[in-house]
Amino acid sequence: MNSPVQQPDCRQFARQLADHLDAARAGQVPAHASMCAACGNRLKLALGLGGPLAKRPEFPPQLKHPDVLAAIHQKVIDASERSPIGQAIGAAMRVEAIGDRLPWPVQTLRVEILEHIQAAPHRQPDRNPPLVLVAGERRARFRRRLAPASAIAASIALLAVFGWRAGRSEGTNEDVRIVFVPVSELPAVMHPTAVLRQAVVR
Amino acid sequence: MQLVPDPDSDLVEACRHPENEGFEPAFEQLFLRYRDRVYAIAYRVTCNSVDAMDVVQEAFSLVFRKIDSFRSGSLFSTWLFRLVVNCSIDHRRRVRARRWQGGEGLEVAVETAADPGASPDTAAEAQEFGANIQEAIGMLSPKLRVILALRYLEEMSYEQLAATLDLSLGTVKSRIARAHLALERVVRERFPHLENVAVAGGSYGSSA
Repeated sequence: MNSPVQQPDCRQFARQLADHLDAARAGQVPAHASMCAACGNRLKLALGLGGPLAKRPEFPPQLKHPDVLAAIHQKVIDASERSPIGQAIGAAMRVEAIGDRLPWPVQTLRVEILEHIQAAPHRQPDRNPPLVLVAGERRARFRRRLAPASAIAASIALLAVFGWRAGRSEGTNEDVRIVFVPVSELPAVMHPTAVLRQAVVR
Repeated sequence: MQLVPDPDSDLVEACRHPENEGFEPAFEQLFLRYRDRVYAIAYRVTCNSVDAMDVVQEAFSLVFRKIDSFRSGSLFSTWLFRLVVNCSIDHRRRVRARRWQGGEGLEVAVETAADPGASPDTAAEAQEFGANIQEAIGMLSPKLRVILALRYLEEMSYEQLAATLDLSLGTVKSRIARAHLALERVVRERFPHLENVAVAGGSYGSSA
């Protein structure tokens, strides 16, 4: 059987095939289909394919197996763990003190502070133009010596205060003790860990 | 506007609260209620039993995670079938890319349910006929497969198709017409022996 000749009426018929199928299923023969053998054939073919198209495939036995539900749950777990929030939660759950080492937030913070300190003298802009340096050499030298120390103190104080504020805003009821220690030493108490950790995260 | 009350609304509501004990039985109930229909659609689009099973798992894992994003103004089934359609198309795309990279062809494994009441010869013929039709469907584009699957397997009206696929009514009708014309072409070119069988079965007034 050949394809229908594409006359204007046949093209129109093809475009409206969905409506003609509905009509044909209701037992109404579209006028054009009764006059044009090719389109009549096209309509019958589409109708005839309706049965196989509506036939459901054979369902595999594993579809009914309880393992399918378990596999779905596993997919949910995998997707959750891969997400950024899942990874953050996973990391937070792994925070444990190992021997005398503190949890990672403190270690991370210490590394960050040390990096900051190392970078501070280089980043510190020379505010004294050469002429002023000659005029106030002693004062300028004193300022240069003071710069690293003040940067350390300022960064620790800022982190501690910011962390304390953050802790307060999240409903921390415990009194916060701010303990200042040299950055090369670990704090002797655990409580500042929480304060500093929040400061780092934010 | 929702004209029909959603028969799944209670289960869906329970699934919105994973912290409650009712979550798991409700989710399981939804899964049991829809797994066959989801599989059938996925199979029509992926043309492969293993891939269809993957789609079933992927679709229900999305239901599990994203049910909060389902708005109660529409039917749950409409939302679910849209997920299944998207998962099927995505899955097929991924599989094709993987097989293409691996230098493999895209085989079409076909399994169609045999009629248990039919004689062995008739059953075998019917199965072969169904298998050929599925193979022909596999040669259509995913969009055309999807519309045929939802129209014939789910017996969706044009309005339901429009809601599920987020299309206008005009586009739905046009796509159904295109799907039939494309299928007709494939049958004529690749499976000419099926044409007479199909035409003989296509009498006016048939409800399929």
